[in-house]
Amino acid sequence: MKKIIGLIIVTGLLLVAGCTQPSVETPSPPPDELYDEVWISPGKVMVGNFYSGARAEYPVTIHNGKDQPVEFSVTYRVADNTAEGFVRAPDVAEDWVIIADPTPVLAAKETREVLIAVEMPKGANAPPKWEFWVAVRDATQTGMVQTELACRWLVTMR
Amino acid sequence: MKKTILAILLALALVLIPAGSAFAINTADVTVTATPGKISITVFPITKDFGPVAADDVIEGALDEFTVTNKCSVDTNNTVSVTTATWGGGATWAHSDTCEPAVDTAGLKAHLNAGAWGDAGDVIVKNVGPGTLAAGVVKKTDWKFGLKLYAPTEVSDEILKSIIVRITAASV
Repeated sequence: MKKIIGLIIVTGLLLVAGCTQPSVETPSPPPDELYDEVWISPGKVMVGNFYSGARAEYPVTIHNGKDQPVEFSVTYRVADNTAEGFVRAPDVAEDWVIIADPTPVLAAKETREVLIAVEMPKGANAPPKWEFWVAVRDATQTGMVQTELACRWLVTMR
Repeated sequence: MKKTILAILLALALVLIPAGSAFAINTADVTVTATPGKISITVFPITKDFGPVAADDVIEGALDEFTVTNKCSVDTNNTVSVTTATWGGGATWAHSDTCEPAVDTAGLKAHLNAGAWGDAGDVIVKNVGPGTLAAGVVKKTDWKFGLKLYAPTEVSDEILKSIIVRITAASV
């Protein structure tokens, strides 16, 4: 009997230990080669087995490599071109895409995630494979020629 | 006593196991995966001065006038577009997505730094439906391009006009 009680106590201790790891300070990794650049990641998000009524989400990571705060614009974008077998998202898909923060202001050298969610209403229709982009641009850009960075979302229906 | 212990173990199992199972049931149907990679480009210079423009002028810029510094960690496709349907300043010009100049209507073309203006590499710079300027660009490979202006056939004023050209990079 004592063994069983002991076993329960040990199991409990193991469970608690598994849940609360002591924090360990690790040295900061050296800045990567894009530390001083503006970049986004990932380049491509694939959603599989999607269906009307479903929700999928993934963050786009934005890095401000500049030495001053920058306001970014995060927007839904019709795909300029599509992957093989995919077509452009239906027009209404713009309403299905939720951008948690469309105008994030990042401090110098800050990296931040902005959550992107696709929520397809029940009963809505979409092609078997469709694609849209999430565009990120530095809203403080001036000049005649500007740049924009895009994250592709490829959605495959169930 | 044994029954009590068994009951405790059963209760623990009921508390711990279903939480994970319920999560799996709700999320297993839809899969979300991401391809690692960073998208990062800059362009220089950021301005273009076509100089004094007369009606019917066609002004070709050098094909290596703009340099796109490509620090993407994946191969990319790059498109070109203008962000508005009009050129601002004074009596605005309409922007022709077919590059057909008309009264107060101008067009733009872009071209990679390969070949020459007038060949198959000409890309009409549109407001609706961006054109592919540089496809399958290998990661971390810089590239260059030029711009060509098709001035209106008639202009209503001589006030400076401007429009924003945008280069968009996306993973292949």
